Amino acid sequence: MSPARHQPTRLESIVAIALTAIPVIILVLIFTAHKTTDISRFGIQSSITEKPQSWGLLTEDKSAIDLAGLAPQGFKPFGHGESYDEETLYEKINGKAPLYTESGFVKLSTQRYVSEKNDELTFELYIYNMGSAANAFSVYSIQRRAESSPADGMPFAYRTENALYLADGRYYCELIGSSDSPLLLDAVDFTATALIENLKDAGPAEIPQLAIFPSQNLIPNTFILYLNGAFGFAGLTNTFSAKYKVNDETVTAFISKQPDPAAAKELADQYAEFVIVNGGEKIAPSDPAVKYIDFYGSLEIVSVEDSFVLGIHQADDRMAADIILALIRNSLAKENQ
Amino acid sequence: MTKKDKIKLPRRQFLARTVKAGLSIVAASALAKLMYNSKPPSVAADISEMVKVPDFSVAARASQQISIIKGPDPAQSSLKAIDLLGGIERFVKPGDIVVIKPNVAFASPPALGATTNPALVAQIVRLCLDRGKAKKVIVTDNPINNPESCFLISGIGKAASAAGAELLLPRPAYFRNTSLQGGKLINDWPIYFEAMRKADRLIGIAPLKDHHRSGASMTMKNFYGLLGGRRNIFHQNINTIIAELAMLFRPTLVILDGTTVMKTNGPTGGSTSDLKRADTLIAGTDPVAVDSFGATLLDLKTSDLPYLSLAAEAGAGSTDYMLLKPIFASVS
Amino acid sequence: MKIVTARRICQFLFFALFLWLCVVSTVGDSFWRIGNYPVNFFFYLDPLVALGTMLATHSLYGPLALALITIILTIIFGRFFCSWVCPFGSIHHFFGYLAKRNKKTAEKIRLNRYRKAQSIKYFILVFFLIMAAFPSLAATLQISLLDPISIVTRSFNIMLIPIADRFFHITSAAPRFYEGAWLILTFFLAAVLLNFAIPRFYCRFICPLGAFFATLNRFAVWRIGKKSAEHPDCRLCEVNCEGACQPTHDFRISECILCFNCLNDCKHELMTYRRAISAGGEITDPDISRRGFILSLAGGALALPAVRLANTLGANYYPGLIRPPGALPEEEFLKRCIKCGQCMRICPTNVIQPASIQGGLENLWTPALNNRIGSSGCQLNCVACGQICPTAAIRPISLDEKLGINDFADAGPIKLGTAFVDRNRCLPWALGRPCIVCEENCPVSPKAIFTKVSFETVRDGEFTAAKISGNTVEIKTIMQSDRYATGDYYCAVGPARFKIVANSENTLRLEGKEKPEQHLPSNGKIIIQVRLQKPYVDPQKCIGCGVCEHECPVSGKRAIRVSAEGESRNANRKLLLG
Repeated sequence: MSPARHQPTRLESIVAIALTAIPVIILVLIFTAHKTTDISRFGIQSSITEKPQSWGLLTEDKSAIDLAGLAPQGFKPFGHGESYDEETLYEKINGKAPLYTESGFVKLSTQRYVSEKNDELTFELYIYNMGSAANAFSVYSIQRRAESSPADGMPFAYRTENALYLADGRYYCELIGSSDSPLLLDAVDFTATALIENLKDAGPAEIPQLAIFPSQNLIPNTFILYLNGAFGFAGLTNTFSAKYKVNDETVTAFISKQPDPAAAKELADQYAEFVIVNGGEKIAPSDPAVKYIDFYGSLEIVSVEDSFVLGIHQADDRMAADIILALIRNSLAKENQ
Repeated sequence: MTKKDKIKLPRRQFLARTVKAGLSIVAASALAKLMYNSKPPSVAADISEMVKVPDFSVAARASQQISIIKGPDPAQSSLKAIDLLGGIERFVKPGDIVVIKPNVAFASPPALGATTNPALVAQIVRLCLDRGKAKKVIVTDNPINNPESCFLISGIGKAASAAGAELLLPRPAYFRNTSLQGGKLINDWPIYFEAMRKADRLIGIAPLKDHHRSGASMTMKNFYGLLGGRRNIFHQNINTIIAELAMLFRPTLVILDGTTVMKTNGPTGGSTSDLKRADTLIAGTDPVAVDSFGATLLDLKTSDLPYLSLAAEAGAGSTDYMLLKPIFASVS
Repeated sequence: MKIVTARRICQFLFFALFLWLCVVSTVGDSFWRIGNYPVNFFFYLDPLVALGTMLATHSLYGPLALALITIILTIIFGRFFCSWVCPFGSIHHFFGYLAKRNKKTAEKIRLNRYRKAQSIKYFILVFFLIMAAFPSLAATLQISLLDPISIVTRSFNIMLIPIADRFFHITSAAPRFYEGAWLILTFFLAAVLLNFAIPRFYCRFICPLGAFFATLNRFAVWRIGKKSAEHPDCRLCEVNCEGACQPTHDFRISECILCFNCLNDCKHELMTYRRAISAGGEITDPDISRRGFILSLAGGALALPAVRLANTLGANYYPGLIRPPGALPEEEFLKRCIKCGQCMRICPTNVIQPASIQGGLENLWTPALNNRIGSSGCQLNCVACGQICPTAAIRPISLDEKLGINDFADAGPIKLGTAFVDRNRCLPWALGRPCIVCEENCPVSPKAIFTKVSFETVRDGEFTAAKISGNTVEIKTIMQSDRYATGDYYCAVGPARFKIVANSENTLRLEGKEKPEQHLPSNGKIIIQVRLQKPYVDPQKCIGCGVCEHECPVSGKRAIRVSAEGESRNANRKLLLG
């Protein structure tokens, strides 16, 4: 007798089909996921040498300059040369980093030197590659200390009690001693001179834009280039300032070149508005085309000459301010002829 | 049991069974949840375990909250300053483990004023050991530059060790994650926990500096040095992070050294011409108040440093230092 | 659709999935390479992996929590895993089917009767779980020696697929090698062939996972059972009963693996899957005696300390055991490694091998590097093994952590051990032959192998110069032509040394700024020397990757070998101070 075959009930069929669907769904999900794949977490990169700066702070400095060779007589290099790029700059100078990174910073190389006779006497050399002479000049001029004495022989350089600061083409360099010992300062000088000779790709050191400032009454070494805004106002980019002396008054003048006269007028209006919004009061101008603003007792003058915005910043004496303003306007007018 | 009995019981049996099944499921799930750890095991101490920063502050004492000393030598000024606040015995009890957190952020020579004066650090170390009868004094920081160079070139390593302190240099295993309750930025972030793990007291000693990003760097900013990880990211929100540091770290005592103030080009300075003598040293239990007074030495107002008000509003201290009845004195 | 059809389809599909996951565990560019889905799917579902690691480490590692699904479903429905999902089970089912095919019905019924020996799997479960549950320090995870998912994955990945690869190049262009695969084959073959003695032999008598499921399904809401106790005694339900669970008599639910063959075969529509228990009665408890339970408990409790008496976790560690990068310290490692072989499978250089019991019984089938096998030692920029390990016995480290850069710069790179130059076998050190293959291939920067130059007189290298004209030296004795012209040989004439550019049978042509004639000593002796660069290992830089050992031309016992001293993961094997 042949046995009857088992006939599935309705319920059994439904359950059977439903259960079969489970592995099918899993397989479908897997094949879909298989198409998109990211196996970078498994490693197997082609070459780690593509990212040399990620090896940490104390990488060998691969710049063209042999920093160790710049050690003066009686001094030797102390520790490794260090190298920093835009991402790692803060690891060396922390809060000051934005000043550089916002001004075209490319690379910082540093090297410390120590006296062979006295290991308390050290100085550290910082070489900031700022990409262009204007950028280097900007960070150089912005940080210039008030009590400083000029350093001869170099166009943009000044000393303080324990340090020497200079801008050479696209490089801004600082040589900072651990004390004001004369021995240390001599060593700093030697290294600075040797350094300038070795900075072969520094590029031209002159800043041609400085020539638009008239030299009459100009206080030497007071030029500052603001790349990203001046006097608290972000719109005053690429603005030069200089200090002038009239009788016994010091007047700070500023000039900002704009693409065209319309842009210059707009910027002048915006800056004047900014000063007023922050507490300035418009006062009667000597020249109707010019804005005169009294800002808590000092005078702010904003004017336009062709494509230039020019003005006087926080003057104490109105007459002196007017004289310098006229001087500068004349100089600019001559430029445009 | 007869077959009939077996068939009669199904419902009761079934219910009992279902309940037991349910209970087993619950038990298994509960056990799984309890032991669940999504992170793979770590080699060092389990970094996923969050820690809580202890509160190191001491009880307030009216009219002995903040002292301001005028004098040319910070070490001498500090002795006077602490005495006026009740002496080191108010802050350090015999047998305590004291952690001193100076500013050793940069590998910068002491003459440049970017780091805490080493002689001042040594003085406080000796004070804690000799008069305070501390069991151990640890001097530590998580510097920005390489730790060995910083402790060496700032002179603080040598000075602290000579005075009898133990130096602690940071290592990855010393960092544990924490969260500030109510904090926006310090959320599951690594801090230098080893520095304070066994400590009974925490003393911060900071130089008075201008700071390019935050306006000023004083005792509140000093605790930035207890953060780990890629902490530079907080510079985008510098005022909030400084305020949160004041809420997270409650020190026993802070000392703000304004004998030589870095007036310009902070925080690294570089030239001695960036420095100006103000011959003032401030000690206090309220870092917000201490910093609020310190701001005046930089010709800054409280409103120039938003983090002061932020911290005060969060309850970390008071910007109105005069309310605390500061004690003024001078030392020749 | 019949329920057994569904079961067969599921078995087939899950087995296909298993095979796919095995094949695809390759790093590379071809179609079958690893994707973004878990290749450890079956391990994540396996509750013994979760339970074992949980008992040993007191934590449940993330992805293993999936096992909770299996556990919950088993508690509710019964041992579905064994006959619907388990790939090993499907193999046994198939071979059991083959074994029974031509047998008579009575014979089949006899083969499927319940045997008391089916309790053995419970004792095995207890024996291994107690070893895993041992108080913290001493725990060990050995249950995966007999866990079905581990066995089947090992067998396919480390044995069957590599064999197939030799002929069909499925997963790997070059043949892959695995030491000790013969033992894996033995286990596998034994398990499979035993089905010819009794169907599903392994499942019924050995499988600890099945034993675990058997303890869970006692409260199952739905269970197999008879609708009525009165029926003809045909025993058709037992003809194909996979679990040997006695559906005819008192139904042993602990052995039922839900194959539904009884339901399918019964001609009287008597079998059912319902909430009420079987009309013929039910036995819920596994048939283990208290005595047996205590004996297995005691056995496990004694076995572990007995094994550990060899102190292989302490001073007597086996220095030849090099674990993959990211492996936990040895004690912790042994609590997590389930000997699945996934790391060996995915290692692109085929350097990770199943270890033998040398150095400890617990090392069997755990990963160990053998630098002589494969295409190079541990490749510098690869962290594949850690990414695939299902239990994080090898941590899923990032490349940064392995190389000790960026966030891990303070900690430094992970060291697997240190290479030691065997100066008694090294070509320049002992055999007077130039060679710097190890130094050339050292992948770290700066290199961990450096060389120092030394000049050694070659055998029979002392000659008397008959005549020197210009740069050519004539000697009386016969040399082998061009023997010394490789650029490594020098001629010492008095105090000066000249490179030998060419040599014939009796002349040497030298190169150098000086004139050889000037320096010739009075006795006319010249010496031929070989310039050797002798390798030294810098232990601070060496990461123990084994590339040097792999490349060393002394092909038998290599002249530079990595051993475990200095490996970062175990503090007690530190080589250097600080």
